Amino acid sequence: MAALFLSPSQNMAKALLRLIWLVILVTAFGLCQGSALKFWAVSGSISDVKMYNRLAADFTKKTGIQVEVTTLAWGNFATKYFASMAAGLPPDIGVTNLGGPFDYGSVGGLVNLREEFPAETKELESRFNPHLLDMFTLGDKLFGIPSDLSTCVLYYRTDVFEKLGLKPPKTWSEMDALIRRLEAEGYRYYYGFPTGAQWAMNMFTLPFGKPDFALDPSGKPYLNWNDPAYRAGVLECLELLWSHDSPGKDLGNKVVGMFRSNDKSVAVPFFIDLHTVSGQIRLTAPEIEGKWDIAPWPKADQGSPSNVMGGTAYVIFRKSKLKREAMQWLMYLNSLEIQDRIIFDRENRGEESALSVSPLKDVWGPENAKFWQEPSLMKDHRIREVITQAFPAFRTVPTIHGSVEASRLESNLLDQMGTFIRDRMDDLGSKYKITRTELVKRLGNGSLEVDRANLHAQIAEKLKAEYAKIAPEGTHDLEHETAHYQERYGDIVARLPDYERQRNVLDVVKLIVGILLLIAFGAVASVKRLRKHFVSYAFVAVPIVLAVVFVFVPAITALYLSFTDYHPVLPLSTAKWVGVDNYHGALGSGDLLATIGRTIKYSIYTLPTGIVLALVFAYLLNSKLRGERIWRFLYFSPLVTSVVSIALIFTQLFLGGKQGWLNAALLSIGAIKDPIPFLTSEHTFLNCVIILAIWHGLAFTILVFLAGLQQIPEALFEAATMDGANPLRRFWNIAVPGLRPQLFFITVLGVIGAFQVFETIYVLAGKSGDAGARFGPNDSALTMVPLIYHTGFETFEMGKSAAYAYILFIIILAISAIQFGVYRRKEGKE
Amino acid sequence: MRKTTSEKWVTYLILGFGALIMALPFYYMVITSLKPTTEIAQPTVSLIVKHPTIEPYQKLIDGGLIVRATWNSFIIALISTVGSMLLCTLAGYAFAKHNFPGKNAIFLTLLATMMIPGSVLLVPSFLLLRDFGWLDTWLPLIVPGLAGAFGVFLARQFIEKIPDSLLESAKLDGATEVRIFRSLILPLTKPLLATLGILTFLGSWNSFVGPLIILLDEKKFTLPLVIAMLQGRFTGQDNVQMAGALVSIFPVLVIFFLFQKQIVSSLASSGLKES
Repeated sequence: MAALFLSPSQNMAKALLRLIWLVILVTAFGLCQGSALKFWAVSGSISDVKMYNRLAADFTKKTGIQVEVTTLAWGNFATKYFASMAAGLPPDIGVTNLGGPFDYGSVGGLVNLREEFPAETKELESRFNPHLLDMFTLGDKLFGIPSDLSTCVLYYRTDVFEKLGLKPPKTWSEMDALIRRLEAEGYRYYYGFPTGAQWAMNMFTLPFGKPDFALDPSGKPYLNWNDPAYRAGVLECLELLWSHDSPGKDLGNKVVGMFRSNDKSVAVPFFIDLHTVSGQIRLTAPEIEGKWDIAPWPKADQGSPSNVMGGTAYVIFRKSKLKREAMQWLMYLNSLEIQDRIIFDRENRGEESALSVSPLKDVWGPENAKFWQEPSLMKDHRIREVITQAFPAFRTVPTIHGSVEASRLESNLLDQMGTFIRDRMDDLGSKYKITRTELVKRLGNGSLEVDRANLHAQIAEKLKAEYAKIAPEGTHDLEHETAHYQERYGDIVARLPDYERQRNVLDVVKLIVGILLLIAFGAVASVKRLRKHFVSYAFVAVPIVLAVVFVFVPAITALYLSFTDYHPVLPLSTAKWVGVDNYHGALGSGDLLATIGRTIKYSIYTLPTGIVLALVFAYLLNSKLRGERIWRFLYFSPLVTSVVSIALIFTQLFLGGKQGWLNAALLSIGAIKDPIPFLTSEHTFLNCVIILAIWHGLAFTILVFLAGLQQIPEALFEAATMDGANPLRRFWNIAVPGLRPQLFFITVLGVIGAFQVFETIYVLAGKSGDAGARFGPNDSALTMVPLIYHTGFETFEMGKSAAYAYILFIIILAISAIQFGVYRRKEGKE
Repeated sequence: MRKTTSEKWVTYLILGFGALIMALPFYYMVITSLKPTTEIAQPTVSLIVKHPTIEPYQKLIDGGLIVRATWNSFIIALISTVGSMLLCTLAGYAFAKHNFPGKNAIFLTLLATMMIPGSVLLVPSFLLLRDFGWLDTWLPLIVPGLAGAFGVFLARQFIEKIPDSLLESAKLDGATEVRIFRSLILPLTKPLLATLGILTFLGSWNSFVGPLIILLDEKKFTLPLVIAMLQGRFTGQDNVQMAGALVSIFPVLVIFFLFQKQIVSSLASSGLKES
């Protein structure tokens, strides 16, 4: 730090800095735990940490290798893994999502297991079903092995089914007929898990042997979006999700509440969800024990049996210095004994108990039959039977370059289709002036057969048209990335250590800034005229050095980066100069324009509403009130509360079914007749962000206006009252004009703030909980900062992200300049 | 302002309605955080909690992650706050009361940093910090903010109002600059120090994007990160998520209630910083 070079008169700052360093060092030291094997696991549960810690202790006893376990929550784990690789601080071995091995492996972040550990890998590979490893393979390289799988099953109330003479379906068409029957009886069914999740479509398209993307024998990528069989699978899923009266996504264990209920208006006697929900039903709804059962996912009518939903995978990182130990740990975890222990542990966790689906064949085979006789495992014997039945059909699809980009197109299409289907359902509802429940009932009992057929045809046609629209771009993404990969990364990934030694732009910038700072210090120390003021320079040194190092240096670096193509997992020296391509691309594609449009919409809705409300409340709060302290506390408390926590609360208030408070309130006052899927519809998502912004921002605006009101002489108000002006008049003629500077100030801040909104969208979109979440359905709240974050830290196109950031910077400067100009002119006139 | 009874009545009615809307999310948070799983797993809305339980809080603290994160956030905010109070005042004092060549240029350079929005620096800061080896440490959450331009600006504005005569008489008595700062400026700037302290503490305690990008190891996570993560760790367990929100909100609310006046006036002066 600069301050350390300075004179004794700087004692205090020096001492303080030393203290801070000391505290940080001590804490950092406390966090350091030596050179244990670092193991990261994506997991939804804290009990997994405990389990892995127990396994690690056992492993240490056997091998002497220490293992340090860290868990990552579902949600932004992919960003964390990428960032750790980019930072050069990856763990030795990790558990990721199923897509992880390909994603991290293709940019050189992972060990190719087949090359590094041929013998062990061969043994491991023989223990999986054929095609279960397809997703982790890139050419002849294998970047990971599955760790844990999950699958969808059917849950049904046997008592209700018996009463209605229904049987669990064996095919998709039987399932459709079953759902219609239930709906005709006034029931509904629930299916929400894969909403908007493009990767979940594999479950519907694999039975036809149609993965979303694939390579033809010559190695050329193609997509199946225009294939009727592929679309038929997607159509099935879309209709299951949207053309019913399903209460929406993320209901958590409220679905268990609906499953156990006997009240027809809320009861859901049949639903589709992950196999792990069975544990929750057993524990939270004991009174329906014996009245419910599970059935396997039905077979597509004309398709082969096939089943995969999701899961996790093990990977070993290239930068690890303990690769051999990591492999030992991997082999240990994959032994039959430990797999059994993991299953046993996860089955006995109270409320969280669930059957863990091991991907290893031998776990489900006859050699392990004795283990399953364990009394505590017997309670889930049905789900085990169902899984054992489905297990041979488990497979994954290969991933190819460009699939990340193409998937995003498809995910947004699925969201658009959801909105489309909901809108058509609403049209039908208003045509017959009936609620959704009633509509679904009539569609189910056959009284609206023509409408039903029309609806189906409309959806199919729209799906076909939309896929045709995005297919060229998707194909381009695949072809470009496949070709680009070899050209761009082929050599780099092969010669990474060379590139790591090369100089890069930061070295240059640091050198220049270092020289400048040295000159400055040198001048102060040697030029007599300056040395006189030594103390003054010392006092201002810290802020100016911090500003140079942490603002100007990154700002200059970003300018350079914005003209390059750079993936942060690779060394900075691999950044490739691309000229104005990033700016050209940003301005040329519709993305930026759409993003700015959303941002403007956000500010147009947020600002005026917020200002009007704040004016009213500030005006009223400015009067002499009883319990002023309490009133102010109530209105100002959002000022100090973290927006992340507030967004978490609003996420629940906005819940889409009748269980959401906002929906319940609107339903009870008769403002709506069907619950609104607030956070899962692209019509409403941005509005939710806006409502939250108004709520959270109101306090600050009131505060500013209140301060302004207190400067308006009371005599003015009193004179007006004498003249017989009513309160509204006094508000409008005295208070509002008197607040002109504050109104200006709030508008400037509000517009700039609108261009900077991030946290609320991040949390409301569920990005910290759901790996597939985008910035709202169909990216409907992808505003400026989310766009920068997305390109920089989700798709890791740092050059593009820097270009967006500079464009944002220029926009903000321009807006501020215009606003100041307008304000000055107005002030000048008066 | 004097008001008629009916005006008063309308005032309280409107304010009461507004306060209800402002308080409702907090009410939801409190009661949901006390609900047992069986009450969460209900198909209908319940405005009250029938069998309050601390079980969600037990689940929340299980594993110690949230306790550690609270402590982490506290330490980071504390160091930032103390550092910022001293260093901003020190620089503000020099800018306000000293004359030295290049003073205005340096001050303007400093102010220029306020023009650059933090989001512009997301990507390059990440790369710079990686280069420093500061990723996955707390240093980037503390050091760059130790003497922010806005704090220095506030300090300069405040200290300018201190009469020069006071300083001159101290100088005549032969006091060194450090002495003047310690025994004259610091005692005179208590309201300023409070404002700087409150703004830095709140900013640090509630910050999200920086830690999101910088921290990798859960043990080093700050509270807002862990709160956001609850969505993934306790999916569908609304009660545990709300217990977490409460843990992050409650301490600041209590402090706010106690020092309302000072905090409100500090935040009112923070206007410029919001940008």
